[in-house]
Amino acid sequence: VNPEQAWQHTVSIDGDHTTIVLAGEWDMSSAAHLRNLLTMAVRMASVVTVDIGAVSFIDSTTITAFVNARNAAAATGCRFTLVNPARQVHRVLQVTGVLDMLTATPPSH
Amino acid sequence: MLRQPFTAATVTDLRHTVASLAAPVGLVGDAADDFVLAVHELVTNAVRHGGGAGHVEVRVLDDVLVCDVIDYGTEADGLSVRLSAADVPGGRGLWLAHRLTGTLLLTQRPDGLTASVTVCLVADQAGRHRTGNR
Repeated sequence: VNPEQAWQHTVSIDGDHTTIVLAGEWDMSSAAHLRNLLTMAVRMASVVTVDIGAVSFIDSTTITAFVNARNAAAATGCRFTLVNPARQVHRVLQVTGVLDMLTATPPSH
Repeated sequence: MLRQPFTAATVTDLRHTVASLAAPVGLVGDAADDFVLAVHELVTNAVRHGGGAGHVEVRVLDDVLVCDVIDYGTEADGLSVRLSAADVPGGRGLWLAHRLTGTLLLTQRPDGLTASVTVCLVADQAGRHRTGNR
């Protein structure tokens, strides 16, 4: 882990279920990386769970990456869900109106 | 209190610097987090739409903490302070800055944009700072 870097992630793949664990601070400097990470996961798995329990900061560009991934997932029938938002992150998702869409588990087909 | 230039490469460091200013002037908890995120969104907007660089000025005026984010490129007709629908990817930055502080002021200059947010440093009896986030 680069101590200069404010964010980290791990990806674990179990069959067609990919779990991504994000940690630290995510902002515009990491948004392109996040977009690529989520886009690839949605393309390759039918269930993508993003654990954001260790994320301490998100901004509008992070939300953009989440919404893009959710839309791409919805278009292909992939289930994309954020789980475990901590207090401040939960507040930001709520105030921007995307919390329910990003954290609700849609009915499986 | 603080006058600091920024570019895309220094957005995260600048946020940490602004966050470090809050507690010494009595701004803590959610109000501090909200103010820091609001300033960060204005800086991000300046980097992405305002020519890629600018500077911030933070100061205390009486009981109010003021932050001006000055850039050299944002065009007024490209600014949106409305909230995007949930499934629309972008466009939440300025709205978020406004929602979190209740005080977004946008001033178009001939050579760019000045975006300002403020927060009252005197908490009410419930310990809440006066912002738009009620």
